[in-house]
Amino acid sequence: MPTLSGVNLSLNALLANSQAMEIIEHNVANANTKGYHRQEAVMRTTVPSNLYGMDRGIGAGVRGTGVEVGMIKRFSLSFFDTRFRSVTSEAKEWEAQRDVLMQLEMSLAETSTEGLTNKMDEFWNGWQMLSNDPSNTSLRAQLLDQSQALVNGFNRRADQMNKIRANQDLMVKTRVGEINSAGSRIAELNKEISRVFSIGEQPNDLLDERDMLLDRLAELAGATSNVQANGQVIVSIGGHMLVTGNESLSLTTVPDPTNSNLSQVQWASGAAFTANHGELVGILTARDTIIPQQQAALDALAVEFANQVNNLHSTGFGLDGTTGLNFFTGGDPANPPTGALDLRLNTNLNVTNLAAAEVTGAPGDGGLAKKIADLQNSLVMSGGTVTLNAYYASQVTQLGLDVERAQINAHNQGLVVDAMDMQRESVTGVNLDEEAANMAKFQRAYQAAARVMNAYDEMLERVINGLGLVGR
Amino acid sequence: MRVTSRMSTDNAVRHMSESLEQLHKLQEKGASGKNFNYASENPTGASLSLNLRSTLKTSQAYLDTASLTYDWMSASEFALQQLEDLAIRTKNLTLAGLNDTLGADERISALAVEVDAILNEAVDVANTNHKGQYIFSGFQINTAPIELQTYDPADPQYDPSNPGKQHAVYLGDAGVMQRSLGPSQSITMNFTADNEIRPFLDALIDIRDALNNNDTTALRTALGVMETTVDGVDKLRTSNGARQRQVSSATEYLEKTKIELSSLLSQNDDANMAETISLMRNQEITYQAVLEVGSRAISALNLFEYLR
Repeated sequence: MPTLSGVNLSLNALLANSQAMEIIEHNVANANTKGYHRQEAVMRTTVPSNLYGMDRGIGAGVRGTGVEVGMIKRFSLSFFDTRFRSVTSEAKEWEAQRDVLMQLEMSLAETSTEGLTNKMDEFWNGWQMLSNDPSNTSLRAQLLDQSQALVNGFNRRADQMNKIRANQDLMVKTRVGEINSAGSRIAELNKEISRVFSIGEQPNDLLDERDMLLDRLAELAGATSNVQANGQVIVSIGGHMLVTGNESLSLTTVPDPTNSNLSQVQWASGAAFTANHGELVGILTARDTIIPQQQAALDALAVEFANQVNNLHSTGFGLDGTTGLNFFTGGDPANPPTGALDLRLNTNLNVTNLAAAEVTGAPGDGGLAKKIADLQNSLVMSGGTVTLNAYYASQVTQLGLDVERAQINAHNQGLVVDAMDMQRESVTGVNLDEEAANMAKFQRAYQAAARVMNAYDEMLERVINGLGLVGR
Repeated sequence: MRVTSRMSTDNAVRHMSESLEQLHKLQEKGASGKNFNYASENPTGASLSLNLRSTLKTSQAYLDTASLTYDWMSASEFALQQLEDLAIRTKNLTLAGLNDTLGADERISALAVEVDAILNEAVDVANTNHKGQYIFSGFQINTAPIELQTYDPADPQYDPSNPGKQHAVYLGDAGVMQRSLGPSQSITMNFTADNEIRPFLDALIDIRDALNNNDTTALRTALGVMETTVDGVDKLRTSNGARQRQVSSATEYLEKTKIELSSLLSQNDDANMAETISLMRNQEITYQAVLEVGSRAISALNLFEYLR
């Protein structure tokens, strides 16, 4: 029945072309969807008619039976994905580090008049002025004020550093949560994807979702993935498995008593967590390496500062003959400070027992005040090679360099990421003009198929109603 | 390269935001007048600035010290000059007293009374108070350095035949006031009344007593002693002058460095306004162009518009 099968053939063509139109519609609809990979209907001819039965003997075979959509192709290049993920994990690491360090730099505000350097200078100048007029109580009161401001400056900086470190806990926890949920979602997707593959279909939109999760995991912790023959991916972070098949492992955070009880990331099994790149690494580097360096330097400065001033001050005499008084103390007034956080001005100090004289009962003697003022030029830090001020300035510069490096690297890596993304987008993205052209193509094909069906209809009309009046 | 719709939009957006960021940076630079606000924007520059600002502050403190020290020295200079003037007047009176034509009455009533007044004036000068502080009493700035007293009977100098004999007593200490004019430059600021001024006062007492006693021999001896002691005062004055000169030259040096440091700091810290504003103008034009191009890139134009 070639004529009737011709109607069927036209129907196939109509269906296939309208299916292709649907796919174009899907592309157009998702032109701006993040992670969407362009799809295409791959048309192929249907199985040709065999040479048996009725057809045999009425002409040449094998005749075609029309068209069908053989497969819905998804445009993607796993090579681009791998490259993209590897650079994005580095870029995100620097970005995360930069963001944390910039907070620190802003809170220290070292280049403004609120800087610690400025407060130290005022402290030294206070002593210098007192040495000019040692019995002047208003100068003494002013010096005590300046010293309190200096102590507050030290305390505030130490406190800020602690706070910024503690704030990173939340950042770490959210990221760990994100990794865990992405891991378990990928495991679910793995299951679904392998099922769809096993029945010979393309789970395109599920693949899109999984690719997006893999991108995010690379950003978070530099996760790498490997696609198996059954379509499932194995995901690992720093050599440790996160997802295999339908199973996913998880990360947890536990307080680390050796690190101020800040959250430490580890695998649920208790294994140590290591990652090569990614936001989490950036945050942890800033929290556990760079800020502690700054803290240690600030503590060393505070301790040495207090030590040097105390050594001189305790030998001097106040206006009332008091001697042996420490200028700075720790949180416990009986002990010297252990760091910048517990640096305090001796609570027993007042304008009269503040020592400016080297001998007792000598109101005009400002010799001690002069010696303390001269401490600003003494090389007492870093094994006696730099002054207190210079030591602090070098720390500020060090932090500036750290921030600058993070900024530059984040920017440069970001450019590479953009370029890689562009390359990937060039393959996977939707071009509306292209879709319009294809739409026109399929629309025309559809119209033509309908017209062919019309022709068959007219042929059948001739056969059914027009072939004479036999027996009627 | 195949260009997709998202690519052209993303590119346009990225270029716009980059261009805007540049513009924002320049605006901030122009508004704050600073080349950088955070150390990370220019680590080496920031470290130089910290250093310069610190040195500038310190040199201001040294300048303040120098000016206070100079004031103190001027007060000393004025006092010493007064003592010398008093010495000249005393010498004239003494020479008049040595004149044999003069009678005892005249010596006592005219000359001795005047020398006594000079003595009191000299004691006041020795007790000069500068801004509430006695300048010649070492560290004992709250104690007047000189007081005229009679000898204690236990004193070996005590003369039983003349129990009312006065002498100048120094009540201060030997404190030497040092002032810093620079990181490694200090100067001694004060003199104590003990060394040169007290003997001068003792000589004045002797002259007055000799006049009172109508004793020309003692008067002649006392005149000799006074002239020696005045030489001592004169030496103090000379050395004070030398110190003042040292302070002035240190001040001059500090002023000069201060100006130099300020200009260095400004060079390092302050934005070049002419440059910043022209760059900003330039960037504005670039931004406008980017907007223009971007508006075309993300226009709704595509093939769908033309197909029928």
